[in-house]
Amino acid sequence: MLEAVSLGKRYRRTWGLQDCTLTIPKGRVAALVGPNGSGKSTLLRMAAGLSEPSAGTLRVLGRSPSPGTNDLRERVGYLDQDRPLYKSFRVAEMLRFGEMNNPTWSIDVAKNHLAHLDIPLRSRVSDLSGGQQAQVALTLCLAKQPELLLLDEPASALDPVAREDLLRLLMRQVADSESSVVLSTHALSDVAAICDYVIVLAHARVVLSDDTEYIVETHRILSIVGDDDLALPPGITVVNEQRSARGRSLLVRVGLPFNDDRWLVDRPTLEEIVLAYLRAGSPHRDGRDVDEMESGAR
Amino acid sequence: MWVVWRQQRSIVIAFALLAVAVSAWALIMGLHEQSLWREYLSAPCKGEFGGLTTSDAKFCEHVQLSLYNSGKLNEVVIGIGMTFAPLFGLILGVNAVAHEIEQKTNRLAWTQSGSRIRWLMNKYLMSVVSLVVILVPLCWLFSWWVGAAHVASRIMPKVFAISGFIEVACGIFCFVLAVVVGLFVRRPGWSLAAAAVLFAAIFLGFFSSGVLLDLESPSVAVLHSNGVEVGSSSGFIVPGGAPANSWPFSEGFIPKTEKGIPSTSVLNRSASHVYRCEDARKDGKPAHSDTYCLKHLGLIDVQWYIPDSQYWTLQSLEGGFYLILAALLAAFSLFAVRRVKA
Amino acid sequence: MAQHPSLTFRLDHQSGLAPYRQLVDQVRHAVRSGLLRDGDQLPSVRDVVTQITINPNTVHRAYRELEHQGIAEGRAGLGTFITSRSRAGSNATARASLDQALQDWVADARRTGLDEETIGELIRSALHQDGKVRS
Repeated sequence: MLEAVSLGKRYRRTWGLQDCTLTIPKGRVAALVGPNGSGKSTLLRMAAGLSEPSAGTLRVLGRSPSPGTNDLRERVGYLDQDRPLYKSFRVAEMLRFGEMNNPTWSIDVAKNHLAHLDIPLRSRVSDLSGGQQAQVALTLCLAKQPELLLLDEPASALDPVAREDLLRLLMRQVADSESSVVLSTHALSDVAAICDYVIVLAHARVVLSDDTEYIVETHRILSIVGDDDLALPPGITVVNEQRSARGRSLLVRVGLPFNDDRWLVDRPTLEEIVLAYLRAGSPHRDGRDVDEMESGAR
Repeated sequence: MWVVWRQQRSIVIAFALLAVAVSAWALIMGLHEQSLWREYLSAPCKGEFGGLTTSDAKFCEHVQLSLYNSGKLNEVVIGIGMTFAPLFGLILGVNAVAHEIEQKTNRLAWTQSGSRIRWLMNKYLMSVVSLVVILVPLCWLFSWWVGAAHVASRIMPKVFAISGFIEVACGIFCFVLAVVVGLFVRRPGWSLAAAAVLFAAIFLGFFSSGVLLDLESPSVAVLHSNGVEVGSSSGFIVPGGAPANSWPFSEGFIPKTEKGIPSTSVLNRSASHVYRCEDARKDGKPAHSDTYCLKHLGLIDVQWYIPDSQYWTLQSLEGGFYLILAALLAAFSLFAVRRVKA
Repeated sequence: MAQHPSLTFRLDHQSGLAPYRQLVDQVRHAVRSGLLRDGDQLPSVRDVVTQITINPNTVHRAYRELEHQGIAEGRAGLGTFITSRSRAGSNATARASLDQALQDWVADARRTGLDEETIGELIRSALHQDGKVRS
């Protein structure tokens, strides 16, 4: 559904995104995780056709998105980080805007969502709270009934209640229409409940991209007390290591089952895994075909 | 299209109300001045203020004073007439693009199903309609006012720009200019300032370059005497000189045999000859009259003017200039909008 | 055959147990404790997604797993319903033979020298592979 090969975007002297290669299959709710400035917005804007790549290729629903590709925009819904709306419009007028600009618009979908959220159609956008504005902006995307939703930090700067309401609104739409979703966040915990695919970006590069379940299954925390430089079992790749006075703790990717009683093995949460990759910051692309590090290598 | 109207609605309504207010004021002023002029130009004053019986003289002086007082506001009306359309066009243009970009709503608009080009085209179409609907009646009213208030001939530079349809063309041009500047400057305040400066530069450049004079071949009239011609819109035109309602842009002494518009040096030389002649005294006799000097030196006193019949030609030239420039800028913007950063 | 009003799912994100497993376990618990009876309808995917913040695919997965375990069955256009005991009964026999096969396999694995942790790994990764093939 979304394929990038060595995708890059350059802004004057810096690269907003570099050497990005990933494939997101259809039907997923994918989370794009990374700190601010890691390239999440850049990737989403290119997928939405708002900017052109500087390097590499990008294909969304089989087409190349660009300011000139009009028919792709019918099938893709994009929500910008700033959730822009015409502030002087009433909610009903925003819906009319959507209706006039999209042939696949469903006024019923829009009205149902807004009724469920108790947002009156007569109110002015500027009178709504931040959370309500975010919901209206999302409703505009959803009513278009797109095959793919690209959402840039939809849950950020929202209070927990508004966040939950927004994510449930999104999931209701996914349940009804089987759309695929790619949403970005700088806090995975906000969206961990709904994502089944995770992409981690650090320093404008992709460091991890895979199914959530697979990621959780194939990562472990190995810890050992004391300072001995114990060799690692074979088939283990270290993602991040932390040493303390008491010993070492490593978050690793497991390629083969191993049997070594000296290591204490724990299952990390998804957040812990993502954090380890962000700390490491070195590129491990699409977990499955990374060159395995030699066991015992530093 | 409805979206564009809804976005610019408050600005258009505000300027429409302003136009109505300005029109009402100009109408009242114009009617007042028109009646004063009618009084002044008919008996007993007949446009002069000398050689009248005492009571008439007092009356005529009074009328003249009223004319003078009401005339002071003419500059204000002209100023408003010259700035209304450009301001309207600039503000509309800045609101159309720079404001959207600053609010980031362009990212909303450019990810809907239509293309960026259609987005911009809709803005152009709707805005040009708004501009024309409000500016055309306003310009028509100002054209009437120029005549009614007897400020100057309508073809004279002072009022040429506020009569006819030039202001409509300027308004449209300013709109397109503000749109293009907004695409690159991306902030409404700065776009407005930059576009205003650019427009002022172009307008003044066009004005001072005298290109209109170069494109038109002026006519020449020979002067005979001073006085006031009844029925002329400017009030004080020399009979026998340039005809009524024309734009006399130059005057001087030239040799009878001179053809075409002479250079400044010829004019200056002729003038100094005449003044020397007039000032010369021989043996205590009084100075010569100018008529004598001219005859003696073989010079004639002439005026160069553009007659009123050329009014619409000149209007089309200047108006056309702004409209063509606007069209070129608009074409450029349709090309650039795809490549501009979202 | 009413949709059961008092079955509300809860997700525990800290538990380390996959969300779909938690749903499956909650349904099984409800059936065991009598809260859900034969013929009761499970909440629709849309309703679950409205109650709790969860990916609809996860709910689909859980319901499929329940079907696979013989606890529920999907009826096209109507929803997912708890099945009758006779079905569960026939599944019990299937379960018994599966159990036996599993115990035999574990015994073999131990004889080869694999420890408990490794055996668990192998089973989990086999489940994952199977899951990927199915979805």
